[in-house]
Parts: sequence; C-alpha cells; structure tokens
Amino acid sequence: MRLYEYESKEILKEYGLSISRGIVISRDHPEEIEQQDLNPPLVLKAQVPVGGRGKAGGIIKVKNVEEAKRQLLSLFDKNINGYAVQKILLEEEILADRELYLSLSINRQEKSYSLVAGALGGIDIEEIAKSKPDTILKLSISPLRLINNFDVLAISNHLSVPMVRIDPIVRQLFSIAVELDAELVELNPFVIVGNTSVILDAKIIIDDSALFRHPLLNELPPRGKTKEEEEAARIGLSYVSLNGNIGIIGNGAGLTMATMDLLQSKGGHPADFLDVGAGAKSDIFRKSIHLLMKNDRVKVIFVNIFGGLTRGDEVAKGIIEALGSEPPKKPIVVRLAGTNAIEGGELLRKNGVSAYSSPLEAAVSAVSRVGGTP
Amino acid sequence: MIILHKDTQILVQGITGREGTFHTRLMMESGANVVAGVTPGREGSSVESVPVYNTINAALSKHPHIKMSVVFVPPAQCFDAILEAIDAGLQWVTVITEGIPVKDTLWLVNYARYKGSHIIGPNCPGLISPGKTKAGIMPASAFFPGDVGLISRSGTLTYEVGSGLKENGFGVSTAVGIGGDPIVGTSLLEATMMFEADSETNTIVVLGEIGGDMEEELASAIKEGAIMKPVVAFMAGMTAPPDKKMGHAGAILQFGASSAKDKLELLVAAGAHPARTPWEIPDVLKEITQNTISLGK
Repeated sequence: MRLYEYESKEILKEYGLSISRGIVISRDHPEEIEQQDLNPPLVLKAQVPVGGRGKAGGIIKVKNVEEAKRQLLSLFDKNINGYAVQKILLEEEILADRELYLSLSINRQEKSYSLVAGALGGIDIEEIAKSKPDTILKLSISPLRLINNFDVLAISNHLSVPMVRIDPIVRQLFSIAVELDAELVELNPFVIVGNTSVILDAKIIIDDSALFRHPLLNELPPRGKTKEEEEAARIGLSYVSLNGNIGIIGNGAGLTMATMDLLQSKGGHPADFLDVGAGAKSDIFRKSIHLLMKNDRVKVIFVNIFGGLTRGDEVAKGIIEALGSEPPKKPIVVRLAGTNAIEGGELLRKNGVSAYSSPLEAAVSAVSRVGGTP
Repeated sequence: MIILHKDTQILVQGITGREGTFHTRLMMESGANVVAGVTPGREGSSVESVPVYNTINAALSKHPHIKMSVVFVPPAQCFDAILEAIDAGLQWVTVITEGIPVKDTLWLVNYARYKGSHIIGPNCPGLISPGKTKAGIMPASAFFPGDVGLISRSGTLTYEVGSGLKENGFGVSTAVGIGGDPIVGTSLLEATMMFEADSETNTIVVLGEIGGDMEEELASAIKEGAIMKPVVAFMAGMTAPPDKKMGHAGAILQFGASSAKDKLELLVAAGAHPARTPWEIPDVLKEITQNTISLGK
C-alpha cells in the first residue's frame, strides 16, 4: 500500500526526523486552511498515490495565504494522473542550495536491501540514474546484518554531508523498513539547512502482505483508482480495472493475465483483472460475480479456473449462490479444469450454467456474446 | 527429474490443517513418500496414516532421512515454520503459503543460503515428477511423464500448460512452480540450470511474467551459452497496465522495468523459442522436435 506524502511524513516525524511545517486540508473541509500558522512562501501539494504529480500540475507554489486560498479550490478540481484529489498538503517552502536523495528498498534480484543515495534530489531518480549515473551511490545490504557504520560513512562521503547529519536519517530508514514492513522508504528530496536536515517530500510503500501485523496502517482507507477497485480491496480480491467489457475472474496471476492476453488476441476487451488467489472458497466466487454483475461496463462474465488449491465444486457453488433463483442479468461463460473440475462442471450444468473445459472455446464464446468477431 | 527422487522422504508442515491434510493425501496418491507431518500440539495423532510430530526435530529422530519439507502453514506462522525447517538441516523447503510478508521471505532466503538449505517459493504450487513423486498442490491429472522440464512463476498456468502438453502427446520430467512473490528462494535461472543438468530432460519450457528481472537474468545465461537445451518461453501480462499489482505480489510492471514483450524479446534474441499464448506451446515444441530430428541429433 502506497502511503500518501502526508502519511509518510507523519511516520518520519514519529521516527524523530524533521519535515517541513504544514497542514493537511481535506476536500470536504477547505475551511481547514484557516487553521494554518505557516510562514510564506508556501506550497500546495495534491495528495495522490501516484508519481509524476509535479508535471501533472499537482504542486503549486504560492507567495502568501491569500493566493493559497485561491489556488486550493482549483487544485481540488484537478485530476492528477487519473486520481481525484481528496487531500492537499499546505507547507512552508524551504529553499536550499542542494537537494539530496535517499531511499531504502527491497532489491528483488539481489535479494537484499538497496540503499540509494543521490547527490541530485528532487527529480525523478530513474532519469538521473540514466543521465548522471555518477551522482548515484547504490549499496546492497544483506538483511542478515542490516546497517553498519561503514555503510553510513559511504553515504556521508558520497553526499558530502557530515556523519552527524546523515547517520540518524539512514538508520531511521532502516528502522521504518524493518518495523513497519516497508518495501520502499524514499526521501526525495531532503535538504541540509544550517544544523538540521529537513525532508521535503517522502514516499513510503508498505508491503500489503504484512498489513495484518500493523493494525493502524491496515485501517487506512484503500486507495484504488476506481470505486470497483476500492470495493474489491474491501472484499480482499486482487482486482484491477481495465477499459473493456468482458469481466474476467481467474485464479492465479499468470492464468488471469494469460486470459486477458487470450481474450485480446480473439478480439475481446477485458474489463478487469480479477484474481481470486489460491484456494478460494465459494463465498469469494459469489462476491466476485456480484461485483462484476453490478459493474455496468461488464457485458459478459468470463470465469477461467484451473484448480490446484481451488476446487471446481467450490467455484460452481459460488456462481450458483450468486445467481440465486433469478436468471442471470449477464451471460456467464465458465471454463473449469483441474481439481474437482468434473464435479464443478456437473453442478453448473445441473443449474443451467454452461461450462467448458477448453479455454479457447470459452474465450471465443465470451467474445461472441459481446458482439465481437473472433 | 530434478530436486526429488522417486523415494525422497518428505515431511509436511501444517499437516493437520484443511489444505495440509487434503494435499498430503493427493501427494501420496501421486507417489510421494510422505513419512511425517508436523503440527505443534498434535504429536501422537496421524493424518492419512502419516505420523504427526510437534517439531521437525522430533520427526527427524524417527525419520532421519527426510530431505524436504512442504509448508502449508498460515502466513503469520510461516517465518517460524520455515526457520525451523532450515535449522533442522532439511535440504529443501517448499513453501506453498501465499501472503508471507516480503521482509520475512527476504531474511529467510538469505539465511537458507547461509545454512545450505534451498527454499522453493513461497506462494508456489511446488513440484511434480509425474508418475514418480509430488511435493505441493499441482493436480496430478494435468501432467504426463516425459522429457520436458517445465518452470513457472504461476501455479495455475503450470497446470494449464502441463495439461496442454499432455493432450498433445508431450510429458514433463518435472514441473516446478517457483512462486509469484517479489522474493523467491529459487530463481528461473536456478531451476533452468537444474534441468540443463538433468539427463531425463531434453527441452525446457519457461513461463515468465511481468515484474522483477529473473527473465532478463535467464536470457543472459542463454546468450552466454550456459544453457544448451532448447528453451520455449511464454510471458504473461502482455496487456497488463503499468504500475498495478496483477494478482501476484511480484507481478507488477514498474517504471523503468521490462514489459512482458521486452522480456520475451530478450529471451528470443538470446536464442529461446517464443510462444505467444500458453496454448501455443505444444506447437512450438513440435517444431523443435521436428527440427532436431531433421538435423539428425
């Protein structure tokens, strides 16, 4: 789960790091701006869980509070890379000679933590890594040992920042990553002003699989792009909205993605990616069917299941429960194979739902029912 | 076949749970030599005539030749369970559980390497050598014995392809699912190298997907000549949007990373044979087999 900037900064503050002074103003209560006691110049920052907000007009610098009030409402009206602005962070603008970069993340290939320090902060790190690789220092740190003095010294030398300033920041990045199960803690930029270092922008991503042991973070509202994504997150489904009209329910990321790719190759357009995961029981299938039935964009539902932990009879039970005694509002095409697929297929047919064993035939059938030409 | 032999002794952690019990039975029906199970507090009972112990060490004192543990323990208890298996000195730990925090896996994978154990998964279906043995949850009916080595990042896709191979007269030496998490214990390249060294495997099928750079690592190894057996590659997620987790915690097309198309192109440039859908793989294998015959190999 990607935390908003203001949430990330609250965490950094709890860990004793300095952040810019500011207040959070919510969309429904723009009058909250009256409570500010900040010193201009100020900056308005849209709180959206997506990158590139500066380029998309999500950051507005203002000279005084009057100007901030004028710009506030127009920023709430903006759509930043597909996300509505629910909250705005109003902060004191801090000017410094040098903006620096520091991040800690999990390195998939090296199976280690990556500590990255950049002498040029405040800009996209991926671009800098390509255009000025010398400004970046990347340390690979085994999770078996965590952070040591020589690591911090390397960062201190690379950034030309005294040990006493950089040491607490680097160590707290590790504390946050380890204690809160962060996949990424990124400070971009932070600046050295006199005797203190101040973090101007921050991004923390918490591992979704670890939320069960962080009750406070687990209670934060879901941050999907669409209403369906938020509802799916509440049910506990792995769901992504897409633009087409064939609703997909699959099990396993690979098969569900391959189902998307297959439908596309047969002239169809997926409306979603919905992976029920491993070993889903009938209630998950019932809720998944309900979710897609409610979605007006979906004209046909295509269920593609190859069972391992997931059992065909559970799939069938869920679909039948979802339909109840009513005839289906939209055609459902089911393809079942694997564990208990025969039992599931019989159960579906007994209840008037057509079940296929061939994915190709099922895909062609689904595409033809939305009027596509396979 | 790789990793296991027909008679390799297997232990199941979490054997008294619903999935543990269900799949212990199916594993044994597929020929697996499951000799012990572990569930704390349940010592003295048995599941499918397999004796249950409180700890792995207690199981090892009665069955000293256990080589692999298959883990069906819920995510919150997995760190403990996997650590116990590594410290008991088991050579292989196959982790079926989905939803283990990445931090736990990251630490365990490094610790296992340090202690000389190998983790397969987590969030994986395990492996099957059809007609011989099985460790995990792959439906045996989807596979037929043969000379194809099958490696996948996704469980269901492995069954799908195994079943397509079977319908077209191909079989697998071993099918192994390496798992869909961002950090896994056995990489695509490591699994491929095992098939390269396996005398019963003649071709290798790799089912990759978006996220991470294991496919890129494999492409480099093929290019450098480390893998001489023909490799067929499919990449899931050609139509996946960027920056979204597609089901697997590890299946995310991040900025700056290779797309499914990029990965497939890299593998093809290195000499692998592409399949555009999983259902095309048998046709690609037929072409390779025919070419091999016509070259007189």
